[in-house]
Amino acid sequence: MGAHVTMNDLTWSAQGLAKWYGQVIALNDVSFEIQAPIVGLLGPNGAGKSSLIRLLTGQLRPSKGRVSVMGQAPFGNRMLLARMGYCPEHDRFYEQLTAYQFLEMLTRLYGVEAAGAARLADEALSRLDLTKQRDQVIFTLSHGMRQRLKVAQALAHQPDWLVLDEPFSGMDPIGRAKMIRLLRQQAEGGCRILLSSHVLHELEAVTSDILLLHQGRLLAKGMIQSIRRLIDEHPHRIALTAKNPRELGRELLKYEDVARVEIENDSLVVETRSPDACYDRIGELALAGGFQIKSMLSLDDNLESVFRYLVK
Amino acid sequence: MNQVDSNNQAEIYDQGYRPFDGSLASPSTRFWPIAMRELRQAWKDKWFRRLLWVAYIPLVVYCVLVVISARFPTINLNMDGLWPKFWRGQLFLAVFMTYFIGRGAVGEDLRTGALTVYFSRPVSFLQYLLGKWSAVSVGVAGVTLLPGFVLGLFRYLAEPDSNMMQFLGWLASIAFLSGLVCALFGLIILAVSSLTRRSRMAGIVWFTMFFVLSAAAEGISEATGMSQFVLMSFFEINVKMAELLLEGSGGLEPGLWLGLGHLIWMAAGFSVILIRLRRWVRM
Repeated sequence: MGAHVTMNDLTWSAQGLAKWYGQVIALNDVSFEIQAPIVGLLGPNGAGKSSLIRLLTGQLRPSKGRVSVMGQAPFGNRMLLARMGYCPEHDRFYEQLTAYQFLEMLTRLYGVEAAGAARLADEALSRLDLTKQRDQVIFTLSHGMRQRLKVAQALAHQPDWLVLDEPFSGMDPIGRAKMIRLLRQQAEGGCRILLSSHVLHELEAVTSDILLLHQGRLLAKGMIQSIRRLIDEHPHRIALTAKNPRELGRELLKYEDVARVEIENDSLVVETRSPDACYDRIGELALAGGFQIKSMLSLDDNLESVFRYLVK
Repeated sequence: MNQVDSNNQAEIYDQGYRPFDGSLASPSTRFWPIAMRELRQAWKDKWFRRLLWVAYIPLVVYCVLVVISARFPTINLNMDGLWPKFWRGQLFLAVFMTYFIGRGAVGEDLRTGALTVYFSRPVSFLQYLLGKWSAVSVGVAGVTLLPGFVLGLFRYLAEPDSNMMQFLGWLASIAFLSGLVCALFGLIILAVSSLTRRSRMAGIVWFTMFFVLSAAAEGISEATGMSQFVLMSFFEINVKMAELLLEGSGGLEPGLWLGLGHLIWMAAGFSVILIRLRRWVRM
C-alpha cells in the first residue's frame, strides 16, 4: 500500500531492545539489523518471539531500546502499520463471521473503502484456496483452513511487509507446500516477510536468514548454513540400529573423527566431529551388508540441538 | 505477470505481491467496521431480534392512547406524565439492548486475542473504543431516540392543542436524553465487559448493577429525603433527567446534580476501560 519498499533501508532492526512485563523480562538487550526477502524467527516457547513480533507490529512499546521497520518505529505509526500485514498465532476470534465477512472487515480497518475491501477479500480467499469456504462460518472451518484464513487477512490489503506468527501450524503437507510457494511469490514481488516458527526445517524451506532467540536474548543471527556449521564443530550424534551393533561400533571407532560410541541392545549412538564423512561411511557399510544396518537417524538435526550447542 | 494462451483461452494468474493502488477511506470512519461487526454479532441472537420487536410495543400502545385521548375526550384517560412513563419503559428496554450488544464487546476481544489483530492495524485506541461504543449506541438509540421521535410526531399530529414549538422541544429533549443514555450505558457496559473475559459474567454484573443500584438509590433517597442519592444509579439519573426535561419538574439545581451524576458515571466507565486496556492506548 502506498510507497514501495526501498532496498537500501534495513528492513528489520533493533538496538538494545528490551521488553519486560512487571518482573518478567521477555526480551533483553536484543540488537540486530537484518535485510532479507524472508527472515525466519526461531526460538523455543518463552524465547521472546511473540514479544519481538508484537514490538515489530507496533502492538507494544519497547521498555528500553529501539525497534524499527524500514528505519521507523512501529508503535503508534499508522502510516507504517497501514503497509504491514500481521498474522497472529491465535485464531479463535469472531467465529460467527463467515470467511468473507472476516476478511472484508479486517481489510477495511486498513482504511480500504468498502468496495475495495470486498474485492481484496475475494482475491485473498482465492489466493489461499478458500473460495469454496467464502460464505462458511469460521466456526465450521478446519484448523488448516483457519490457518490459511489468518494468513489471508494479513495478505488481503497487499502489504509491503508481512509478519507471520507460526503460519504453518496445523497445516497438512500440501497446505504447507502451497504456503511456502505463496510466501516465495510474495517475496519475489518485493514484499518483505518475517515469520516465526519452532521448526527449523519449515523455515529452511523458505529462507536461509534467521534470527534465533533464546531466553529473551538473541542467540544467533544469519544464514542457517553458518549456524549449522557451528553445530558441526561439536560432536554430532547419529543413532543406528543394526544386527551387529558391537562390531559396527568397533568398525566406526577406527576412524579419527568418531569420538565416542554408545551401545544398547541392538542400537548404538555414534558421536562424530565430521558428520558428512561419517554419513558417507555408514552408507558404504550399509551397502557392504556385513553389519545389517536397519535404520539411521540424526539426533542433532533439530532446533533443540542448535540451542544446546549454542548455549554451551 | 499473468500468462495467457489465446488458443485455449487459458490463463495463469500471478499470485505474487502487488502494491495496493485502490482508494483509501478517511481514518475518521475506521471505527465503523468495528461497530458493524458488533451489530452483526448481536443480530445473530434471536433474543436480540425479539427484543427489537418488543421495544416498539409500548410505542404502539402510547400512540393508541394518544389518539383515543385526542379523538374521544369523553373517555377520561389520564395523560399526565406520559413522557416520563414512556421514557422509563424505553430505558428499561435500553438496559436489555445494551446487554445484548455490549456484554462481550471488549471481554471477547481480550479472551480471544482479537486486540492484537485490531492494533496491528492502523487503528487507534479511540477508534476502537468508538467502534464498540457506536454499536451499543445504535442499539440504544433504536429503542429510545426513534420511538421517542415517533411518539412526539404522533402527539403533534393527533393532539389538537399541541404546536410546532412544543413538538420541536420534545424532539430536542428526546435527542439530548437519548444521547445521554447512549453515552452512559455504552461506556458502563464497555467498562464492565473489559473487567471480565466472559460475556455471561459481564451480563450478570450489568444487571446486578442495574437492579441493586436502582433499588438502593430510590430507597435511600426516599428514606433520607435527599434526592441527590439518585446519582448512585445510572438508570435513575436518566429517569430523573427525563422528568426534568420533558415535564419541566424540578429546576436548575437538580439539573446540575443530574448532569454531574452523568459526568461522574461516564468518567468512571472511561477510566475503567482506560486502565484495563492501557497496554493498547496509543494515539
